[in-house]
Amino acid sequence: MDDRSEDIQPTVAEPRSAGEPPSTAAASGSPGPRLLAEVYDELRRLARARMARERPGQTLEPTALVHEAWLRLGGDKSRHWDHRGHFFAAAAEAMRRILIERARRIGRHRHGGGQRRTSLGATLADGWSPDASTRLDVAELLALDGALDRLAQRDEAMANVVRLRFWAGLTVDEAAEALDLSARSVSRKWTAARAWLLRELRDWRPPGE
Amino acid sequence: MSATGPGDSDWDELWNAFHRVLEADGEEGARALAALPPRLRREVEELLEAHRKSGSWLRVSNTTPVRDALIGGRLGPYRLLRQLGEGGMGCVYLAEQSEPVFRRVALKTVREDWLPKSAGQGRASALRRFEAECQALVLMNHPNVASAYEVGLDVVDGRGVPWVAMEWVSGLPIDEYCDRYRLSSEQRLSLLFEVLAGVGHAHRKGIVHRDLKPSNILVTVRDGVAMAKVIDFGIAKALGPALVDSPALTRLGASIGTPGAMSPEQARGEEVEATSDVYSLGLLAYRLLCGVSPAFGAEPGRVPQAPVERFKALAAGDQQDIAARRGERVQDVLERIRRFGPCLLSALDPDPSRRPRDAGALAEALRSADPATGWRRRWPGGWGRAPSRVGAIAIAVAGLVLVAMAFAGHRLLRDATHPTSTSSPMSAAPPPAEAPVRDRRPAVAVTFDDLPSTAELSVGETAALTEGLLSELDRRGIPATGFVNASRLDVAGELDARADILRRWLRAGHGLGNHGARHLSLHGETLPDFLKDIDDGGTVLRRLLSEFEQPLRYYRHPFLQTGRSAETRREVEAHLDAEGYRVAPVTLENHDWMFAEVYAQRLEAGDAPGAADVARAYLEFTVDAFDFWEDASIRLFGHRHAQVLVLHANRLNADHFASVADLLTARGYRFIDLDEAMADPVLGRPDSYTGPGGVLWQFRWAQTLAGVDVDWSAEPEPPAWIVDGFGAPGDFVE
Repeated sequence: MDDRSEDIQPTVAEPRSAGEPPSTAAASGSPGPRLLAEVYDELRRLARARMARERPGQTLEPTALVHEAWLRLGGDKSRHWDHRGHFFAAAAEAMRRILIERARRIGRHRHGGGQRRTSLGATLADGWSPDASTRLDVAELLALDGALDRLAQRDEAMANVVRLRFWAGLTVDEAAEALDLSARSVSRKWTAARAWLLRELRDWRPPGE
Repeated sequence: MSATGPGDSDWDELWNAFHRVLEADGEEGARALAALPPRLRREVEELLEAHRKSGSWLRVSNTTPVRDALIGGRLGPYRLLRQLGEGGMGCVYLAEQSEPVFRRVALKTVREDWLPKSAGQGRASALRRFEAECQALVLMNHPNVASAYEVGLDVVDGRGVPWVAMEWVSGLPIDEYCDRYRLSSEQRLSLLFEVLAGVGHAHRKGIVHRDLKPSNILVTVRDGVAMAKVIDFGIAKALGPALVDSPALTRLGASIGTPGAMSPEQARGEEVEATSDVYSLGLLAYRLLCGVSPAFGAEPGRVPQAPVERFKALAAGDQQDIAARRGERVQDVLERIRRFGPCLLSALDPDPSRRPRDAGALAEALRSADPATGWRRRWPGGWGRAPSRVGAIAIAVAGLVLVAMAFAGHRLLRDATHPTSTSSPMSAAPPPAEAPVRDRRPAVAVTFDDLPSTAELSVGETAALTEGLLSELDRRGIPATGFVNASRLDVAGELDARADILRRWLRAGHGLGNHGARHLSLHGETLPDFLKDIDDGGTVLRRLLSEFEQPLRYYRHPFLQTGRSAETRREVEAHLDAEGYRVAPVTLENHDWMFAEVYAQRLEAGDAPGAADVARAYLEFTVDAFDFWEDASIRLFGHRHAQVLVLHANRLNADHFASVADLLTARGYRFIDLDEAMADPVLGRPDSYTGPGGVLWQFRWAQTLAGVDVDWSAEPEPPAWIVDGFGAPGDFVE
């Protein structure tokens, strides 16, 4: 459906395939491929550890994973990045890949009652409701991701707020710190970006129609 | 795409205007909006509309929010079955009590990070206060309030987990219920008065709810009558004191209560009283009566616009829409708003001391505003005036509830004493000899999708699991139908061996149908590609079936996706018709594909006990899923119909299909083939569902049936650890 669908691979060499806009540039610039690969590996490793069978209750929680990765990779003392924003930008991109890959995997097998009627697409079909976001299927995640890229072309800072909040699970305050903006400014951008994205996706129809 | 962006004046102007209107007070905002040039105004309006609908959109993490070591374990006498929801302060679980009575409850817990960290006195006294507050809840006893049964404190992994067991209410939020069933203003008022009666009862006992919003006020059908139930009563207060010593309190501040549903003083974090609930009830009454929320700005603590003015300011189309949802004329709605307007405004007064003092006083004020409406009691099965459509539904549902109760009783019996009984209560008494012998037991046709087997399995493994399944089917005399993905035969050097596996099904007397050559998604392909895939599957299968002189008759849509638009549906159906296919519906399923994946992972890792855990969870879930879909059938049609079960040819079923079959037998089922099932008139019903879901047929039929009362959101989900096990480990294989 989408040329982006092939760039989400279990291993990462480049942040994005060529020709695509750079993702999640923090205040000080984009994370380099090496930082991204490192954060991605760490997040995947942590995610796998969480799934280990001695802890059957655990799930993938971006917030927890990202924060744990931050600590494990050295936190503020690490030499790998200039400041937190740099790290979280990489983390948001890495989580984006992990979550889309995961949704893709689940989506491959889903059918029957497994497909909830609270998905974005179903909700679009009969009007929006706010609680639709908890389970997006992969086409929907990709549609959102595409809309986010279009937003980035118009307003990178707004898109970055969403990336940090949505993919990496940062709070407003954390995102403010990572982007070197005031919390109020982040909060306004967040409100604005969500409204813009929702309107952008208003006419979105899943592929195949 | 236009190249606007930051620094671009259009873009900046847009967002400045957006924030200016959003952050201004209601009227001021409306003025600011009106002052904008038309094109900009339209865009801002669209964005504000999107903002209004955005709610918590994107706020939640996009994976399942479930995290839980408690599930499967016990708190007090309750076994935790699954998570129902997660609130700010803790999780809510569906839990089951088996002794001395069998009942399901909603069990609320407090999250450990909300309790004081130290094990010292602060923590102990916080827990004591929690318990004392909860004890007060147990004293409440009102039909419109979900009861609190019991409070407790258990130690799990060395940590105290306080909990409270509450009546489990399955229903729709009141606003959603009113709109979905197009309740008249009078019916809405009637439900509102029930809410006021319930909250009034609590207020008289000195208990304040603190979080009255539509999702805490459910409408459920009891004995055929719709009734309001206020849930989570006083939980906020009861759980609140536990936080006093916690740093979390300062962080989360006034987060007990829900923005948009709480009073100005509560939003400021001040001590709240019954008048604060009155404010929330005023908001609810406003929405139910006027069809919209009151207009204030972003800042609480202002007087809302008069309801009549608010309503008149709406676009004519919106007014008509609101009236149509009540089956009334615009002027009737307006007249009623005029009558109750002053009452609503007094409940929404920014000064708590000027509001009605509690819910009882608010009810009194509403009654005197219009002595002619609102408090007329509904009698069972009907409303206070000539039976409306909803009344008729309520009566119909009453009948269904009785049937459902009969089955529930049956289920209890089975759970208690007949885990694998092969007799059924309905066939226990032999029919009189002269009567035509008709087997009245419910019937099920078993089908297996994705034959010969899931793609990951080798031909040897596939042959082995096929033999396992076939011998079990044979032993029990179960006729099955397999649905084939013909491209799975097409493995270099294995074509014959794989085709032989399908011949084994045919030789054993089972049927085969087409499931698409490559299991493509109709919603992910172009139509010509999809139709070609149907044909590709058919070509291979027809050749195989002809060896056994059988025709190819059934087709099942991969992912059960039948088209997102009516046109797509029609085209696919026309093609299937022309090729002589009949679509095989699905009415029972148990997510076996998901469990099977985790099961296989554990077997592969040599973790036999882990695999056994999966199998146990699979069977437990199967019971829940069958309960849900059978119940949906009965609610739709008032009687049972032949069911079509879908399973998949996988290792889990090869090992445990016997137990699934036992379950079906214990539920009274006899096994029939797909042809016989399709002879049931219900299964012949047209299905015109269009949409993204690969949904079962009960959901499809419900779209064209009036007055269906099924809470689709209650469809059970596999436990979180299965969902995550399914989605996760394979992703991270290096």
